[in-house]
Amino acid sequence: MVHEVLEHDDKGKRVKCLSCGSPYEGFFCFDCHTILPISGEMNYFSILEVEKRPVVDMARLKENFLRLSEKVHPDRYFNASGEVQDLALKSSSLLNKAYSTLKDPKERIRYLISLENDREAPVSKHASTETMEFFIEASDVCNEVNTFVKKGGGDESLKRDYLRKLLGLKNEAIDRWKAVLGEVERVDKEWIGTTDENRKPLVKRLLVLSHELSYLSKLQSLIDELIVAIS
Amino acid sequence: MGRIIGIDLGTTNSVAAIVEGGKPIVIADADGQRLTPSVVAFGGGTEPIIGHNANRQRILNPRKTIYSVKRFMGRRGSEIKDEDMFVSYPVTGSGEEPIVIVIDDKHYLPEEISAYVLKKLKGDAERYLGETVDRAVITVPAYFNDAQRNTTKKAGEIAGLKVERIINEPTAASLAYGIDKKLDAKIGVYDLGGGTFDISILDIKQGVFQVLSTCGNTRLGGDDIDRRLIDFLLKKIEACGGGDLSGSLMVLSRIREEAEKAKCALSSHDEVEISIPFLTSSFSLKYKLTRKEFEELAGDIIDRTRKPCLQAMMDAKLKPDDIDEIILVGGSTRIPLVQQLAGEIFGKTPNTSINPDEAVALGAAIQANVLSGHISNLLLLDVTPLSLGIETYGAFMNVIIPRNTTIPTRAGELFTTAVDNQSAVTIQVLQGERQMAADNWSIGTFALEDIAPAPAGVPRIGVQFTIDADGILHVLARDVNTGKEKFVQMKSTIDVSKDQVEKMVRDSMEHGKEDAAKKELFDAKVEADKVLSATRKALDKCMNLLQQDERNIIDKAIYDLEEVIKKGDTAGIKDNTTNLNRATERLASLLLVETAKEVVEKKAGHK
Repeated sequence: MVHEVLEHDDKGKRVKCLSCGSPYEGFFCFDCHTILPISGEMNYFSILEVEKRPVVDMARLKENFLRLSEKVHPDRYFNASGEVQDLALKSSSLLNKAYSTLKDPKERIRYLISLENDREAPVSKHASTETMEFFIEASDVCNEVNTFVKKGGGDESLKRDYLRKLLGLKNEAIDRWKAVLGEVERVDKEWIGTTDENRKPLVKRLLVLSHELSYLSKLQSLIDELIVAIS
Repeated sequence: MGRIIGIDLGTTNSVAAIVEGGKPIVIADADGQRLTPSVVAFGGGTEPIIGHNANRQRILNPRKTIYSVKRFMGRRGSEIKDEDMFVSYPVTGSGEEPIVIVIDDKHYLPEEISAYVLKKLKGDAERYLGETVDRAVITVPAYFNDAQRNTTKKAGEIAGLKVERIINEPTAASLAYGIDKKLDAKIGVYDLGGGTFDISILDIKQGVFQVLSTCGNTRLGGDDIDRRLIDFLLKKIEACGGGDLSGSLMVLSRIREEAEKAKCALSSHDEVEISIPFLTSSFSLKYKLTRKEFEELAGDIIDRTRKPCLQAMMDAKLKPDDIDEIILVGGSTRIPLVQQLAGEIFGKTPNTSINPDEAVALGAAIQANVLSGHISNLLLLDVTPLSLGIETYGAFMNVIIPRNTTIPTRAGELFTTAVDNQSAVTIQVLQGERQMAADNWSIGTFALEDIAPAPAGVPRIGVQFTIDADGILHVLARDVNTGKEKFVQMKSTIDVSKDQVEKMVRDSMEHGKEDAAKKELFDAKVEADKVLSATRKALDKCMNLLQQDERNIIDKAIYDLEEVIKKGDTAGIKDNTTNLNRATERLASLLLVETAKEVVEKKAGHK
């Protein structure tokens, strides 16, 4: 993953805390409360202390993120040496990236696939025909509204009509999004009982679902943008 | 090390605060005043007068009394509209130049003027604390870009303050609001000040104040309402036989003062009598302004806060019902119509429990204590307000760090060369949400240099963009092949030396406005030529791939541009250059594909 190029170097072996000597994994020694260089084979799931699988417990994810932020945020090392401050900046950035990836189902699944395939998730253009058809239909409406907005708006009844259409599309996009997440949950159930070697078919199913989410999320931000523009 | 104070460096007023005995308090000046007008007046002595005293001579000495300078911080000439230049003191700067204020042949950058205000606050704090103060947390509007944040930092340095942290005004206000409460809530902070508007949505839990989204407008505030009111009064004066007074600075300053007073009075009264005796030797103004009339005048300005609010909710993926409280900050939120609108947008009565003038400074003082380690049960997680990206082929912006990403944050990008043996690559860094690079802020350029000679596409240079907790960008480059790493100095477009500024102003004085216009025309022509020749080259290659109607649109855009170039119409050239750029967007992407194909074919040929 291009964005990770410089972060891969942070991976190291599980080592002892420089300060108190206890073994640690991650970037913080909870024995002596010291921020440390990242150790162990870390991924976003292990950083945030949640299981590596398609569905995560959102409440737990958030709680862990807040708890770890408390420990590694640069504000906590404001009077420390430059080296420690730099560590805090690195760890905090990584933690933020991990959280933003895992809390968004689309990003989380893409990331999980990349871990399973040991490389970036391939970007394919295909979702289900049904989703593609909805995407095209909605895009047409969006284009129409966009032209209307660019011309300066004006016509109040047309505006109300468009707003109603956009809100309708948004709701449908959300429903479809939820339906895909339901499918993700089904994969997740099977995931738990499957060994690492036998996950290939599940990963394949996730890949299709990630495309669905990708289209739907793109559509949602497009609709949101137009709702703001026309309001 | 000395204590860290919190400073709200506002458009209209500035405030300093500190935490004492666990409570944040405002530091009053020697006269017991808690707010210091952000006004600097030159005249008389060698040192300027600052604050209330400066404000008092605004009417007598409008040309040398500088106010609302925050609007010019970190801005280039081309970003400032004429109406924004409409202040009673002389400002210059066009195109890529920074804004410069000229007083008695001396030239001041906006950060130098702000530094005077900061120095005054520093002095007040030192007197109050009885010790040297040389460290501060300074607030900025959440929607400030990289250049504006850097400029604010510089203002602090000029004033002799080490700026330990830049924090966002609405976030600071949320700290002041939430510090004593054990909150577990989602809140919105609606901050309408003298010159800027911000909306931030936060999730507060277990002492962590996490910003979910922020949006705003750095050119929207009480100043705009004042200006609207002044224009209205000028028209009334003319209609009542007072003549056109818009040319007299002294009269304008008097009207301005009365307009501002009337605006404030209408927050608690239904009508107010505006009375300005002897505007001219024969004309005195008396006018009864009702709140309804005022609201009609200011309505559309206030309504401009609506879209950023909707955007912020969309970005936070929240509906009005999901937000527990909407907190009002900034002097302009005293206006009933503002409170009404905020209530309508968020579907609940806004919370006006915090002092709208002081909350931001108090929050800055709280954050200062977090940094010094005195408060350990509170943490601020803020976001970057604008997407950060780089300009790519076809003049598009490629987003690297999207808006509302929690900071600090880092992201990497790989770069390579476009031609054989290229030794340097220059990269343009942008901030903003628009698709075309030119529609966003250019925050600077950096060069990747000393690239070892190699065929095109072979060198691999990893560039890491870090946005720190101040919201300020740092760039680190590493040659992936050799492992050589170095910090890259970003050349900010507004980062100029004092000498350059002096020279620039001298030049513009010597040659006057005409030459500035000539230069602008010259620059516009150069840019137009660049685009024309690029278009022709692209057409040579990809003409047959275009639809007939696309071709027609491009031909017309070329024709139009050539016509205005012949006429020497600067504004026309600029507009038509933009048009042609737009018309050739698809052509540019076609060209990209064609070029890629050629490269592939060439490589295949080599094998």
